[in-house]
Amino acid sequence: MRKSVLICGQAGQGINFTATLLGRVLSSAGYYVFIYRDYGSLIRGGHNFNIVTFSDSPVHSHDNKFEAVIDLDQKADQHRSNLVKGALVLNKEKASQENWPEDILESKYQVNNFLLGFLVGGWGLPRKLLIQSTKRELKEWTQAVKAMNWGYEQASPREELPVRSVAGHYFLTGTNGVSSGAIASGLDVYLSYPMTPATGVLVELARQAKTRKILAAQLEDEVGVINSALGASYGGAMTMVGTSGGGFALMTEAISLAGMAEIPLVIYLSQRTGPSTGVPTYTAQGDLTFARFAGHGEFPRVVVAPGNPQEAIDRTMEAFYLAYRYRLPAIILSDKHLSESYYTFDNLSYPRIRPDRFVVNRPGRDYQSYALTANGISPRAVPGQATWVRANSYEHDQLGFTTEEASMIQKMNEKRLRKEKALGQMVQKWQPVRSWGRGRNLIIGWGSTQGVIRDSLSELPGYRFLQVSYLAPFPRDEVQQAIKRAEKVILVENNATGLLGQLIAMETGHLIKDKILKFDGRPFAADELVDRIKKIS
Amino acid sequence: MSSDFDTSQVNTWCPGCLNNVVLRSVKKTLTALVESGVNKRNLVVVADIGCAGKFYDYLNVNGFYALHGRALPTAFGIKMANPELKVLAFLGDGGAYAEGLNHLVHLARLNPDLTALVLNNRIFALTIGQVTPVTEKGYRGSTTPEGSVDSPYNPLSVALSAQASFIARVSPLDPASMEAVITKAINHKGFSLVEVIQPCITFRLSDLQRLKEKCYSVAGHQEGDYLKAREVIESWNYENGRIPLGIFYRVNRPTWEERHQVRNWFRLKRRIDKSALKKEWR
Repeated sequence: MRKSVLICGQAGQGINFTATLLGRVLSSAGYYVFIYRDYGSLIRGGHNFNIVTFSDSPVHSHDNKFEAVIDLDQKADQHRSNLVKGALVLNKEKASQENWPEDILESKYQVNNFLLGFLVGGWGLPRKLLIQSTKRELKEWTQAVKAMNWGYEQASPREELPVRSVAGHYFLTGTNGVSSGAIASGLDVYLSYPMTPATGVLVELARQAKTRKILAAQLEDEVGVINSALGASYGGAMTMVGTSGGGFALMTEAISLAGMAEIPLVIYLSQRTGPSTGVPTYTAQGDLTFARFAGHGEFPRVVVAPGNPQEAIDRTMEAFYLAYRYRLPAIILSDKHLSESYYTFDNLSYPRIRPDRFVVNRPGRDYQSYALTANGISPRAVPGQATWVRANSYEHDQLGFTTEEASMIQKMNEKRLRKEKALGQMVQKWQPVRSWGRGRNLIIGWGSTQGVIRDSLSELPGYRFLQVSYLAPFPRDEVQQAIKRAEKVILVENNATGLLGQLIAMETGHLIKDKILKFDGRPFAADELVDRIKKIS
Repeated sequence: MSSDFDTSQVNTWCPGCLNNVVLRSVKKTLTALVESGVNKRNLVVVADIGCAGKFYDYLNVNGFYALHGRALPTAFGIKMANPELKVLAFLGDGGAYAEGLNHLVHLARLNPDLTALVLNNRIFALTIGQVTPVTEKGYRGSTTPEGSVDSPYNPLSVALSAQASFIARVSPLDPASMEAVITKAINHKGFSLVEVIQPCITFRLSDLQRLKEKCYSVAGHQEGDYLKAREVIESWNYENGRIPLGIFYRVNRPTWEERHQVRNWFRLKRRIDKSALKKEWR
């Protein structure tokens, strides 16, 4: 069983709220839910929609075939070809025919609640799940509950959806995962400038700031954000910044500074459709190469690409650990699809990584900010511990003083690059690639396409999916071996030129010829992906 | 005179550069500060890029040599991590008034407790002589061979508009007053902006005489009076006329760190309850 509900209407009509609420109800009834949000860059008007796909077995992506529609602006006609036969369409027009209460239908949001109650009532799901979820989402819930009750009572039974054993479904977005992973890593300071689709993390961390004792602040621009963040990290705080492509472009000079001055920093980059301002509220995987190589000069970095909210927690915690242990910038590469879609999990886990600032206890007189060590990692200290803790954007000697001396320039370059080796070994234990399914044919992808590729595998016998989760350091051997062993190799990416394919070519020498690319701002849906893969086969 | 703050780095300022006078004064000020009970471990110097940036190498204390134009956000970030640190940033007129002007405006507005010394010689010196946004019209620099056709703006007036809580101008030609003002700036709780107006002896030697003649002290000025501050600040437009020195404006406002309840995060012992984090998503 796998069903989808379309909830559509104008921006400002509460589509997102209603969809999330429906998702919560279904999730608390024991169903697996995935919610895709499709909305324009406007505050009022337009035509936005959410797709709530759910099932009694795990779902990781949305479908484009709808069993039911909550149509708030009577424009659902444009989705007609995506309705299954006999789909239930709920809207005001229908409502007036049914002689539903005027006052509710006239109220701005109560019509949503009414229709939602109607939908849930028709499935025979317990009313209390609806009420509990509503109370959780709303401070002022009296009116909403009243409208839902109305709808619930009006509904004639359609298809009975049994309540499944509620072992404890977790319901969250990639944004939630990154935020939570950051807090679990011991985050002290989060700095950002609002930019879709990265803003959610600032909102989430600001929401939790008081209870978790963190500082979540919005500054003047991304340049200010990252330079302040580097100051804060140097000053001893566990620090993260967040942005999307354009803001990340502004940050690149300071990413190079983090590499040179060896200041730990975690950077959350949620991709939107580019280039330039692009399509702010739509998704893409177009910044892989940019994230992997951003910043002038040569220096080691970490780029992780989580594929779902659980991995967002895992990879964020790894990013913190690696950034602070190895004193370098670590980028968490997400995208609009992962950041803003809801996923359901039976359980969530937080990796057993102990938060650590990796700061020496007592930097003695012999402490050097840039000690030349065998593995390239210079022990870290923070001001306040001593009077000789230095960070330098210029090339420097061990003490951190500026130098132009040839042998020191070379030694320091070698020292920084030496960290890559230890780093590469370290990430081995964290599954830099993940493999799904079995088969001689190989699908390769990364990031938010994980869900849809996993959901497609059941229709693709003979295929397995290799998910690349570390773009730097790159799991060269794992990828190389998987490609060598495979009969057919297909690259799947949400971009126009196959950026992971280019990176694989650079790292392994393998050119992947079969590419399935999508670059219209929309994520893949499983039926579409299966069709395209079968065409190649 | 040797100081605790000396380093063994070779001084690469031009022979006779007045930055050396500023450096001596800063060392004296910092020494006095430490003698008055400030923990030397809590002192941090932040430097921009250019001749003013070299203070980083010549001061033996915690330091961050930042990117061009970004000394102020970097300094601000250090205060976000640990409000107990005393942060002194060195910038030139390029970093403060050109590349990093937006940060100057926002720090003035937000009022973090730190001090910015802007060494203003009205020239990009380290890149060998180009006009800055505070160079007078007509100046012949390497990129303005016919003479600059653009007029300067008044950055102190901008800082005042942006609600900076401490604005002053000093000159290394009067080291005693300079030291007194810098000390007050460092002790001021909030964002303090001190412009050090000085000649570049390599590219603008004639300024030496001009500054000697034109600078005067605004002794007796009422520091808390916004309109008087505006009047004295705007009495010099960075081109003609007499150049006032002294503290132009000083008021007390809550700092950013106070308003945002910043702690010394490094000393904060966190107990992270992962099950509570998990519960958020049930």
